[in-house]
Amino acid sequence: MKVIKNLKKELQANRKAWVDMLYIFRKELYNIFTDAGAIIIFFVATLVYPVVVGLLYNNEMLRDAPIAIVDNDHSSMSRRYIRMIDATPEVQVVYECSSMAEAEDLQKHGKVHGIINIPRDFNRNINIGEQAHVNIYADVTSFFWYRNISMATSYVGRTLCYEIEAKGLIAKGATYDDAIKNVRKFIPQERLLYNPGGYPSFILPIILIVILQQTILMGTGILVGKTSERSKWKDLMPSNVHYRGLLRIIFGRALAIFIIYIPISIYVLKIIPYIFNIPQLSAGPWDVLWFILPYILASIFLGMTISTFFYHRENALVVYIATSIPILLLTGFPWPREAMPEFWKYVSYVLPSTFGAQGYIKMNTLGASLLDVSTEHFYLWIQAGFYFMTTFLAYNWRITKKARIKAIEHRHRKRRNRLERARRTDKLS
Amino acid sequence: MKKGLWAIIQRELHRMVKKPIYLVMTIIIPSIIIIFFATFLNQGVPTQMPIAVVDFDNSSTSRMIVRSLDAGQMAKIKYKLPSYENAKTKMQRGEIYAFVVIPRNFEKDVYTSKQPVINFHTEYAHYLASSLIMKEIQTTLTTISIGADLKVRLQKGENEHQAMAQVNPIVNDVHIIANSKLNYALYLTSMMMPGIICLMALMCSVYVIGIELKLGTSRRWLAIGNKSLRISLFGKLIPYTLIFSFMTIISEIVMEKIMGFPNEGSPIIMYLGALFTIAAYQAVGIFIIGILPSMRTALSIAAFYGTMGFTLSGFTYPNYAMLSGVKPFSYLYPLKQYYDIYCNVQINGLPFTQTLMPFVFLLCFWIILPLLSTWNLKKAVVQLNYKRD
Repeated sequence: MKVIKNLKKELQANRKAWVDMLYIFRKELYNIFTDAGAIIIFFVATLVYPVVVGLLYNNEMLRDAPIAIVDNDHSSMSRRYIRMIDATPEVQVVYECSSMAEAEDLQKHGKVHGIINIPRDFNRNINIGEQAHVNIYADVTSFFWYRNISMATSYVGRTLCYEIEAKGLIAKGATYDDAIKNVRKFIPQERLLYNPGGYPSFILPIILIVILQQTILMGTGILVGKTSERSKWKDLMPSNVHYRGLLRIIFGRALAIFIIYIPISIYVLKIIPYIFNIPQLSAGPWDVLWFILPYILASIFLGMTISTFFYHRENALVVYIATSIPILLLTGFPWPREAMPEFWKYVSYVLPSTFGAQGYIKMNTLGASLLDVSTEHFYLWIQAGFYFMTTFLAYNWRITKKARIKAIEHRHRKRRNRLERARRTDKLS
Repeated sequence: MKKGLWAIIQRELHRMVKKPIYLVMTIIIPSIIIIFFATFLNQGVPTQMPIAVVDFDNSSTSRMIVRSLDAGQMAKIKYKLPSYENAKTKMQRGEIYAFVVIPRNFEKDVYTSKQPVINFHTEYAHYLASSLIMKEIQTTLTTISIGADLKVRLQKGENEHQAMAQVNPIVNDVHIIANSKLNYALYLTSMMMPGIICLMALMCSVYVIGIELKLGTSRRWLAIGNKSLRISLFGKLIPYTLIFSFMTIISEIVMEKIMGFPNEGSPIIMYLGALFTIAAYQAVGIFIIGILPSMRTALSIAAFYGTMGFTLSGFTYPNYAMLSGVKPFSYLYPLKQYYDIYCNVQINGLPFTQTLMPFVFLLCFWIILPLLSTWNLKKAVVQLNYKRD
């Protein structure tokens, strides 16, 4: 009872602060919902962009990359090789060329993205017990052409090798079972544990996390730029009796963005993955949201800190848009962290998206528990706290800067008045 | 008051030096992007990525396998773990990209021809890293199993050359056209660097036209351009065309000379392609601000349109794999044409006459798009009815 009484007292003592904060919060919500630019960034971008990107990647794995075949051998073995290549899901034989020059021409004009050249002595070499070489050329224009072609050919090559060797053993008098067992001493078997969807379900969650951060940064920049444009002193806030305490302003503004990002986060991080069938292995529905809470806060405070440098509404958009792709690369998923230069690794620690993406993807795609990602979670809280402090300092700087200007002008006015008075008294006397 | 094209250009140059945002848009951001991509991916191929082994056998053979895996270029054994569960947790925490499980009695089974299985577990959450490691582990293990097979055959007295041919009769020689060293930075950088500079050119052209409307200086701008919107637009945008083309060309030079990317064709065609693409993006900018003569909306739409281009142009993920309805949309992007020029000229070394189509498409962007929107833009420029909310 005593505690509640104390709390009540406390609230009553600081009544003005709470009233101010809620006033600023309400005002900020009003600002957001009446500004076309802010609505586009906060709602349209977060609602539409993930859907469009999801639809683009809907086809999941890249299948049937078009390739050309140059069969110089025309034997039953080479035809079998070609049939097997064609049957793999990764590539599809779309042209059978009579010469390498013809195939190269097709490749140069983008009709095919790989060439398989079977030499003239292919079948003969296999029959007389020599190694037969197959020349495979992959297009460099996309990583996926190389990946698919090398996967398909290595699979077919391996299978045919086993078959030929087993046949050889049987010819030497081994039984079928013995031959099969003797082909290889052991078998390497690949097991794909997580994210069987491949590229699309790998890239989409990273984009989702980055969208949240980037829209928050742009949105706060737009809102502050707008108030700054409107105000006479190019100030962070309107001249209003409620805007009289730094903490009230910061908390009021942050709360407004935070409140609208609760439904947006649920939509972007839970509903979008559900719609597009992205693995969601995290245990409870609330785990991800609890993890993402400091991420949102850190992004908001980072945005508020940087936004003190924006004097125009549009500048935020122009500056942030170019950073999105480097930020995507810095998360450590498209390019492994081990291969990053030290300098950029440190830069990545500054961004909430690095830890946000790490934690979110570990939970969602790899099925880690909240405990497993506690390091990332901890760093996000640290970032949120740190950027809160920088926001405080930056706001303080902008506001005292204004106060300084005002003070100087006040002094000037006073001096002018004094001189004026002095002159008048001079005249009188 | 001086009038005409030259006066417009001078006016624009004055504006450019007056406010820092212009410098940021035209020089600083493109430079940062070039430096970022040139240094971030300087390693080319990721190496020493951590993996783990779970060795239940602990025999001389299994230890030999562990040593061979560790000797690989890309993977490095960071942990030797006692159980599968342990390794799985490590993977979930993102500490390893893959782990190899060597079963109990492995050596015994190998010698008694029971053909044991070595499972290696990976994930696709780190797509590139895992793909590379998966391939390396597969190759290493296959080589060892071939080697074991070979050893048995040699002990039986077969000659080495023949035994090798028996064990591994078909050899795949995989070559990558124009990228023999398999530089992965090429895939990520070659289009991203020019692509982001093009995006900035788009944003910039919307910004510089929009700011005239917003600040209400557009009538004056038109007056200096002899009341011709065409001259006014041309004079206004030509400095940016030159700056951004210059930045794109610098990015091409950095990629070729410093990062060592292949260039089979003539660089002049690539430079021309850069110029055409930048100009086409500016035409798109004129179109967007013309249809929506409100700066904030036009910039948001331009940002949305521009960023979608990275996915739609098909260089991050082939258009081939996307829904069939998507492909036509890729023609909305000058970047797609630039990618075609890049494939044709830089990679495949085609001469100019054989890569005319993308240039024609880019030319269409300049001619058609401004025509579609100048009527509306002119209205906005003259009426000065900029909506503020």
